[in-house]
Amino acid sequence: MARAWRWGWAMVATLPFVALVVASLAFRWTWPDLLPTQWWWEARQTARLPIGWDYVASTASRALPALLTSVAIATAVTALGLAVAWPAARVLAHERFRGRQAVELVLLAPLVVPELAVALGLAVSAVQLGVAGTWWGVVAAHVVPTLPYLVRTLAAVEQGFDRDVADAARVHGADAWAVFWYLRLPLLAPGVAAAALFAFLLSAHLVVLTVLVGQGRVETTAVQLFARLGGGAALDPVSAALALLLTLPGVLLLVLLDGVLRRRVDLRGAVPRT
Amino acid sequence: MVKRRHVLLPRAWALSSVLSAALVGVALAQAASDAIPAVTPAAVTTVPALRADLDHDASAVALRDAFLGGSLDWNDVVERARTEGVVRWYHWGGSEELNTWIDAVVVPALAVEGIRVASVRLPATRDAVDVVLAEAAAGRGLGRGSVDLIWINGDNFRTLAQADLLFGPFADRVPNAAWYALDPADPAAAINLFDLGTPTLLRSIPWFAGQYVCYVDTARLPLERAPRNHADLAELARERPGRFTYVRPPDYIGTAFVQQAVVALYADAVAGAAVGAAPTLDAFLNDAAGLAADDVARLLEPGFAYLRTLEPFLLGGSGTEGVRGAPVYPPSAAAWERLVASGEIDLACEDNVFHAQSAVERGRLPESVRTIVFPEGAMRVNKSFLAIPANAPNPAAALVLADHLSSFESHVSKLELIGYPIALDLPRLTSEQRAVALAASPELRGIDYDDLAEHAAPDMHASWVPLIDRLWERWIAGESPLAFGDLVANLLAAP
Amino acid sequence: MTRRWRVALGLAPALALLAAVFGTALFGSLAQSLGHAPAYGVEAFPTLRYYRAVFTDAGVAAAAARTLATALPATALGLVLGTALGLALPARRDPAASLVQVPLLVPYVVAVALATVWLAGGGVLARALAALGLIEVPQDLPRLLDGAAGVGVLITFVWKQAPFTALLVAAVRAGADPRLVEVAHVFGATPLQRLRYVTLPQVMPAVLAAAVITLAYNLGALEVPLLLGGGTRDTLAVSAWRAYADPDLTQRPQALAIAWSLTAFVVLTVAALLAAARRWLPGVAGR
Repeated sequence: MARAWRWGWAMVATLPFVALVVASLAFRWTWPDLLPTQWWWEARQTARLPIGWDYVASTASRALPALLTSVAIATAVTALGLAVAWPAARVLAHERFRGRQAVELVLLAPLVVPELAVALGLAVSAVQLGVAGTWWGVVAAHVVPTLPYLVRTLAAVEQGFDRDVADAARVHGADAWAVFWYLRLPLLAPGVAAAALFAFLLSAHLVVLTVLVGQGRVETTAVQLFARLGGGAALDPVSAALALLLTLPGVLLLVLLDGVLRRRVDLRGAVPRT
Repeated sequence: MVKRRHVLLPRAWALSSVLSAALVGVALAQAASDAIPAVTPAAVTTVPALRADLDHDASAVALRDAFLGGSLDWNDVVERARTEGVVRWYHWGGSEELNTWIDAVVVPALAVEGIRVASVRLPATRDAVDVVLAEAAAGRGLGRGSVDLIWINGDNFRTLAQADLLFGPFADRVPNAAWYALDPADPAAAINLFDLGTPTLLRSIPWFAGQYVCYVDTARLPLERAPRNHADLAELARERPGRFTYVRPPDYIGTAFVQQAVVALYADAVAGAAVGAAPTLDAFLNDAAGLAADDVARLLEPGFAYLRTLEPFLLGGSGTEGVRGAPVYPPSAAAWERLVASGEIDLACEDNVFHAQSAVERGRLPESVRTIVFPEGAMRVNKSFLAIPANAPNPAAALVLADHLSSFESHVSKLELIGYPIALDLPRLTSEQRAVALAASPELRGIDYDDLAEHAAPDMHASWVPLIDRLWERWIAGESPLAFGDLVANLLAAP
Repeated sequence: MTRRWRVALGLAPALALLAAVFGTALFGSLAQSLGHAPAYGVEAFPTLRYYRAVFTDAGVAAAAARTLATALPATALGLVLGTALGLALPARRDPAASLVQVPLLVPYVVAVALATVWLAGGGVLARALAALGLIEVPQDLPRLLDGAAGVGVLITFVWKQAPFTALLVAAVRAGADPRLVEVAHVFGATPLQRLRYVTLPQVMPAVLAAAVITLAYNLGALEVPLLLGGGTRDTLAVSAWRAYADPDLTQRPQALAIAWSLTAFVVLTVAALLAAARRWLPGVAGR
């Protein structure tokens, strides 16, 4: 029974994507046809301009630059996020100090403040600061929702690190560098890698912050898709293709963490914002 | 929110130039009626001073003065454009076809000249206007802004004109100006010299010829049942509840639908003498600011009342007279078209007579789609233009691109590849050129050029657009409980 | 290095960055919502005009009601289904458990694309029903997207969030002492009693954490209600977005006032949820 229930959910979670694949490969797919009456590969030879996946692949769609922008921004957000969140997570994991609760509250605050409220506020300030429409403005904005998640996960990872082991190593003459290289890194790497990958995913998925701070000049794949949706009617092939492109990073991540790292994906910090 | 467009009655190509002039004249005669103030030749040729409150780039100013003063050879402009190296063209970017055409045809053509075309795709033209206004507010003048060329018309053009942020007059000074009647003394020039009632003063050059047409899916709604006027549409909606809707303003196409209803219903009201001491229909061709709130309300109320009574019968509506339900208004023309393709509604409209054919060719609409005449005698026609902001960073490159886009070859390529109507003045084409253009024209799918010419009507003055958009937002979407007249009075009184 | 310094240096970068970006956003927008927006030709600081408009406008009150009507059922359903799913996930590696996570790994816009292709009036679901002869035209099926009932928004939220709750629940359960259930079994507790008195209390902290996070998200979400909501019955977030997008730039302080009211609304609702948890679930929300 539990097995049927969990497999039922697994189907609900994955089967809908089949229709997305069909939609991306459709040329003419109108009511009431369950499958396209004409497919992309049948029509592409005679089309005067690129259609469907050909359009996505062409320079006209700017899908590739957007994908690269997504990756570049997400990488920068992850690097910046790790650089500031890791030291804080270490402190929160190992130190007791006055004001700790207040610090935790501040670091987690972005979880309850709606992304839209932050984005509207930043859109205005970014113009005054001259970072509106720039990559750096967007990167800084993306760090806000990423931070609570990174701090939470990294603190959990740090808590799992037994400091007595490090002390023992020091007693036996290991210097700080050796402790980091031979102890902390190998022990913490899987956890930190998982946190980093999720920060990457979170950034690549952000729409509202990117639109409002990037002012349309910073175009990521998520923003491209957002601009094409709405209206409740059927999905056009190019939007379907973009949605599939945007699904890729998450699926790669699942395969990477679940298969290669042989580690159950720990999504406990993954806010539904992703 | 311009997304686009322009007038052109392409069948004329097959006719003699005299006849085609007569055809275009249908629109002209109305557009140039005495409702529109004449432009004095002096106003057209005078070169206004640059706004003194902005910080201008000296070499850009030198270029402007020399070009507008007529002391610069076109070759020198092209030379200067090469040094500028890039031109930033802001345009509505919601069409895959247009984006592809620009990328595949325009970009390489200008690259040959050593100019890189950076096309900036906008969800709405309003965004480009905002950029120009914001930069001007920051004091950035000629040579120092970031927008070189905008595809624009209507209230967006009017906004820039009122802020005195347009470069020019240039339309008569580029080589391809020869395709247009631009002499204010020539009645045929009105359509090129006025943009929805705003005199362009040669600060924009026509680029798209729009005519509002609707199409139906005949697999579900037989052609003989297609509506021909708004009364037919209301009756059809009651007979087949839930099978029609329209795009929500302020989307360009949505506003256009509401405008058509407003004009048609007011015309009916006047004809039925339901409105006492009424302003004439010409009021719509003039600035709304010149009217008392009472008159504005009187002009708009029949159309808005019609749209309210239609609501229960729209997609998602209750289907019962007087009970609203949850009507669904698609956010864009693309979404409207997809509702037809997915079988939810029977009819949608566009501002391009070739739209249905293009959409069928691209697989977006079924083969059973046909273009119809709706509304009879009131299929509004207008042009949209290319304009250069007064703080363009690369004015010479902007001129070169505007000129390139005004060439016969460019217009024909656009017509043939993506079904965007030619905006050139047809009488100025040779008979061979007309034959070429006709051969390049897509099918009209159900109507012919005579229908288009017969039912063409002028567009409203741009000042009505923001008013109609806000009224729709409050009165229709917001279900305002106020009396219509009070709502109009409130809106007009607000700053 | 003293301990005090270690704490300060460790926390400084994160707090400084947050203060710079998050702080700027909050205070900049607060100032604007109070009438300081020279860039848009509004200079009336300090004024409560925009907040007054928020609290007197019938449209905003209706939007607040719709925000709750959208978020509460979606959150509740997601929690119930997610908890049930979490209890069904095995501790060992399992292909189903991996596949279940997919909705978590795609953005909301992709969920919207999926909802569109399946649930639209003429979408795959309606076509399948038509192929089976159950309906003839799209109108025969109640509207799932864009309708007043907001079913599409609800389904999208639940699809995306139930696996999230499930994962939190499964993680807590994996760390709990399995002997408790066995003991209950030995003492003759029925399966239902074991669930009610042993398992559920064990996982309740995870459910509460999921509740806080998903509720806060659902109240403030923009993309899903904007794209699937139909446009005439907006939530607070969508209202703020529309006010910001209004061509009349003097409306922007209004957008920020709505956004701030929305933030307060979210914080208060979450606080109410935590207070209720403290009252009814002592020991779970103590921390």
